[in-house]
Amino acid sequence: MRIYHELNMKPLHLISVAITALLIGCYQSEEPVTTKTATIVNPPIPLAELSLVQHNGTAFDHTTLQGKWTLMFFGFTFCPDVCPTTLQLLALSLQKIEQSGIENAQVVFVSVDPERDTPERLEEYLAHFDEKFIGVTGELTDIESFTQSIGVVFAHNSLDESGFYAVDHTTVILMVNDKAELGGISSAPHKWEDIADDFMTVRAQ
Amino acid sequence: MKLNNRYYALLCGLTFVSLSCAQQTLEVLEPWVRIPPPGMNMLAGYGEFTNSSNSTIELVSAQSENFKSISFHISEIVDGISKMTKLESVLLRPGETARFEPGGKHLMISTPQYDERPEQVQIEFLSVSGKRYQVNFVFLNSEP
Ligand SMILES: [Cu+2]
Repeated sequence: MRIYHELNMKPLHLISVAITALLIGCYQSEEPVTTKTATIVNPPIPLAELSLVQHNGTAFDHTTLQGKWTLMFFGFTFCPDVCPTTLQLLALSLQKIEQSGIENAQVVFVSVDPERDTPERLEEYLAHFDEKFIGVTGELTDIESFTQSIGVVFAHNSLDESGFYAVDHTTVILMVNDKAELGGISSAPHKWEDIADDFMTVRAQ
Repeated sequence: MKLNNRYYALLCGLTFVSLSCAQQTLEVLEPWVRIPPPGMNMLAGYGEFTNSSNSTIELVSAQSENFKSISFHISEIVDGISKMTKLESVLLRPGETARFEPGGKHLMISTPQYDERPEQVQIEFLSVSGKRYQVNFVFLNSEP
């Protein structure tokens, strides 16, 4: 059984809808900017207000995003396959971004499994990939309202024999600009070089 | 008459039936297990599984003294959402290859039983017909 933490109990593609609308509405007259795989959100969409917690215990809200350019990914630390794979790619992407002289880039991993992903656990987990990564957790309802506002869905599966449960989740990587607005979306399958290049393209907009 | 593997190997060696010797088994190319982040009890294993025998191999379970349990899983992206599903078995027809890779089929490995992580671990696969295949997996941070 899968319970979608979503209004209509099924995945809606708010982001796709938003983008399609934007593309039709606004993008036609602009000069096309080419990305490798990511979709540019133009004009950028302000993120909804959020009140979550960083792995170091401090608040995670718009002020954490302002002044920085962020790659944001959603997952859970008990995920053995997709999340570690993606975090590893993001570590390489961040390295490439930083090597090209960008100093205000950050990677944020938002947990969709806050019951298990405490700040302490996130800190230990993320340091394995890159000590600069920011882990974000919080009350389930606060995470839900944030993910719903940007079209990210997740669903907790039922327990298996060993007491483990997996969490289905959207695999997009969001590119958030320095005004806490959604500026780009990268969909799976992810390639670290493309993520870095597209991030820099979105940033140069 | 049923020959066990050892006799068969011996027989092959003696009679130089190298072709059939080489084709008696399950081959796994680049078997590896992802080094888990600290405190992480769920791991994933990968490799390219090829059935180089003349009969179908259906793997139904896997085990290792180094882990509490191992099962077959597949990660799939459906409508942009990553889902993980348990596979009851892995069927390989003669000559067929199944790639276990990040974001796809994988061995879902639970709870290490060792104190210090060894360089490699042996995992034994059991087929529906009762055959056992031992494969050594190395620990790596990313795909070889
Ligand atoms: Cu799995």
